[in-house]
Amino acid sequence: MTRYRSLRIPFIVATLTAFMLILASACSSSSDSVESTSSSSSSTSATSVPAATAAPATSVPAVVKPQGKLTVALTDLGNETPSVWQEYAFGKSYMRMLFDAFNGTNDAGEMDKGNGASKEWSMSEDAQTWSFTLRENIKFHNGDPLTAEDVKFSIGLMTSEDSVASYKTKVTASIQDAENQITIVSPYEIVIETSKPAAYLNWDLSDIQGVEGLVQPKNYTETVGIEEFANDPIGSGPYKWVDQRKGDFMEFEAMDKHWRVGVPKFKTFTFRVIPEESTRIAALKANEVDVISVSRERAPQLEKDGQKIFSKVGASVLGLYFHEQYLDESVWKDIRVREAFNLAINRDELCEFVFAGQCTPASVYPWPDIAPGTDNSLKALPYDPERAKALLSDAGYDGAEVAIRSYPRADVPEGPRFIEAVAGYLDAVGINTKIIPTEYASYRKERLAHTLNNGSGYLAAPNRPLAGFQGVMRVLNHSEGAFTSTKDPEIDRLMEAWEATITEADSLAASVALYTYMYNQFTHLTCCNMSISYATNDQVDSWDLGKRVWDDGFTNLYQP
Amino acid sequence: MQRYIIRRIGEAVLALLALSIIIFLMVRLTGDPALLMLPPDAGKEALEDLRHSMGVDKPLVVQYGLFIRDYSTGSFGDSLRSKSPVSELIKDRLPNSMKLVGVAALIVILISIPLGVLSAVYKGTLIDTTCTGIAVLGQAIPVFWLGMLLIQVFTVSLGWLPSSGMGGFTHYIMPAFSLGFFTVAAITRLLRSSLLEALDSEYIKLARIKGLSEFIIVWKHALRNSLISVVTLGGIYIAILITLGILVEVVFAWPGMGRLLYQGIVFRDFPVVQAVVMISAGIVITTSLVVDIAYAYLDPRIRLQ
Repeated sequence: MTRYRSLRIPFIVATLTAFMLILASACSSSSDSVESTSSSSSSTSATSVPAATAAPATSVPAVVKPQGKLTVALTDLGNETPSVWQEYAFGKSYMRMLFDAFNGTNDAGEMDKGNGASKEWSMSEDAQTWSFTLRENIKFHNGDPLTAEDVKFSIGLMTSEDSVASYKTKVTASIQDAENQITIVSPYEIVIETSKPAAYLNWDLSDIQGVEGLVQPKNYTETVGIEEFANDPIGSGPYKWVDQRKGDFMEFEAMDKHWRVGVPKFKTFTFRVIPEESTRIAALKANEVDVISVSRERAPQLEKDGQKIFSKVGASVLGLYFHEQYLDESVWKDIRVREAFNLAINRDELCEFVFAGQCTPASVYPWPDIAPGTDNSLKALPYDPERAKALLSDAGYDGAEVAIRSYPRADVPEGPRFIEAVAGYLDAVGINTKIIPTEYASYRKERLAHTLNNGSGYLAAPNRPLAGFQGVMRVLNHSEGAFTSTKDPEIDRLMEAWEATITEADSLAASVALYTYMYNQFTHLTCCNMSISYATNDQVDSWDLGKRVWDDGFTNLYQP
Repeated sequence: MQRYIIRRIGEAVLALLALSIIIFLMVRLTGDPALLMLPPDAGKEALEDLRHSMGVDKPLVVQYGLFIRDYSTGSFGDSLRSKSPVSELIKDRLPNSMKLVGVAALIVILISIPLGVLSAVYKGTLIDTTCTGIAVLGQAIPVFWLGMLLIQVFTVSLGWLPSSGMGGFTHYIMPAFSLGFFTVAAITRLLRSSLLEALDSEYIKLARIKGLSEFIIVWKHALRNSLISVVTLGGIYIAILITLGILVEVVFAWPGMGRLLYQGIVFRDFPVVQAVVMISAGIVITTSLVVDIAYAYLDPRIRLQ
């Protein structure tokens, strides 16, 4: 031992050195934060992540110029490729900052002529000719005016074969040849001839669902190249492109004034991609970011911890499918069995214990209760296990096994717990259930193949505009729909009548008729209206998340 | 020696080829990427269009042929999700991972060498137990949990370090430590046993008889000879860090290859997954090849075998 006594000194030195290194790092970390806060008005280099500025909330006088920073941390930002043909609907949050939409919409999910490049539009009686008049005061960030050429060019890009735009098939259903079907009458007038009646073409070319309606500059894109555009994009939106590190952040800088938004509130707006929720929460608590997406489970705790929580109630509706219920051997062939399933579950308990109180009982899947075209007099079914048992007995339920697929999804991470709870309720009334752990893509494959006799699975259908529901109902419930669980002639008739409507009033009435029929037929096991939640620090005073699909009203964060 | 090198290179190429078949088939076993890339309500036509544009509707043999053709011409194909060349995605991310691995390697060296030496020198004492305990912890603690714990302590509680993302040196500390800690454990234990063996050898006894100080004996003579096996294994471990980074990069939102692989797996972006796995495997196989060749050069007994 004495031989090694001299080695104690190096050990102590090494330990002290390590400690000093950590201390030095901590000190430089503090000075890093100070530097990035004080340099908030200058542009940010690509080597550092822009830091949030935590300013206390006070009543804000009218701003003359954009000021300060806001940093939003999300799980995902789509492709992080700011180009109308290379981005999915999931990237709409930032795309709407950079680009304006051809046809405008508002946060209530309605068409709005005040919010898009088109100030006026009209449709022919046969719904195959649409005329649009553009505003003349919209300029791209390089000063070029936004004209009909840019609109035509953008639609052509978005409908091209290589385009990944999520809802492009809704547009290509009526526009297959943008070059010949779109006529430029004058620099600010455009006419679109569709190949079949397209009563919702203005919706399909808006920003209400995906990025299909966003307008990209033709001249600039052709100058830099279609592939290169996304590396340094320009648009006409309230924010211009600054910088990006893929997988890390995207940074935008406000225009001093925008025709639609006015003077944006924040000078710099940054999106950060932080997939892990614990890390997002830590970043919020450390004021590195100002807004984070948060799961339903964590929202109540964060609120207790002093963070502000903003929720989009009824963002989606959760339900289970009764697959292949049209088959003679299906356990759901009998309406009494379908009703029994709906009466067997306690929606209030599910909301409280599985979804942390962040949902409300819902009436008809796939419509959230706040969706257009619903009948609010039709309430969610009550929890009545005794009646469920009686119905099962009347129907002669023979104990046939129901196999419920269980999988987590990004929008419903509580999925497996939800399925376990549902299976428990069903078992309690005598329904023989089996839970099959799987993953969503495999379940979807089975749905497409229609091999799910007596099988069930869940989905959360997002709220969407009326036109969107019309499209999704065809896919989900029409006899010819790819994912149909029902082959009901009455549903087909009601759906086709809806598709034949031209005016919005008729469309709403047709939607209500279908909604009511499906409510009375118990076509799904409808559960709950789900909330999406965000946690913020004091940088955000108020926030209306709106009713758009795949976009939670980030516009309203920078709206003055 | 030449024959040995040629044989090893041949083995490395065969290993890569076999891996290409395995990874090609395994990613396709996970299912159809189009099902995940479109919203749940996208219809059959949209799915078929997307499958066609991705090329996943072609026969497997054709897809594999295209895969090999692309790789032999230096192309990794296009990402199914973003339509961008995979090589560009990797070009963006690989340097970020290399930087993180570099700092992790530095941390490994700075921690494991002193720990290994102390553990060997103070064998059987509390210091040895402590160092061994730290090594065991490193192998037992899940990497992601360690990362989350560090964030909680150093970001939320103390406010010393940033939680996530890339930036200045302070951004590297926690993710690099999380990434390297597992390897610290392995290197420490290896160094301890190598050093114990060295300290027991005849030339060390001679050095003591000659009156050299223990510091010189341990740090100059014994350690140097112990490092041969440590450097060999350590080099391979550090190459593996690139692949182990997936969990660390997700927890710390580090925009590296690990995150790219994670996104590729989640979205079934076959070309991305294939490319990342092939590149990572290539790095490990190449490192192993270089080490083997260097070893054969240094130790004639190996090449004569």
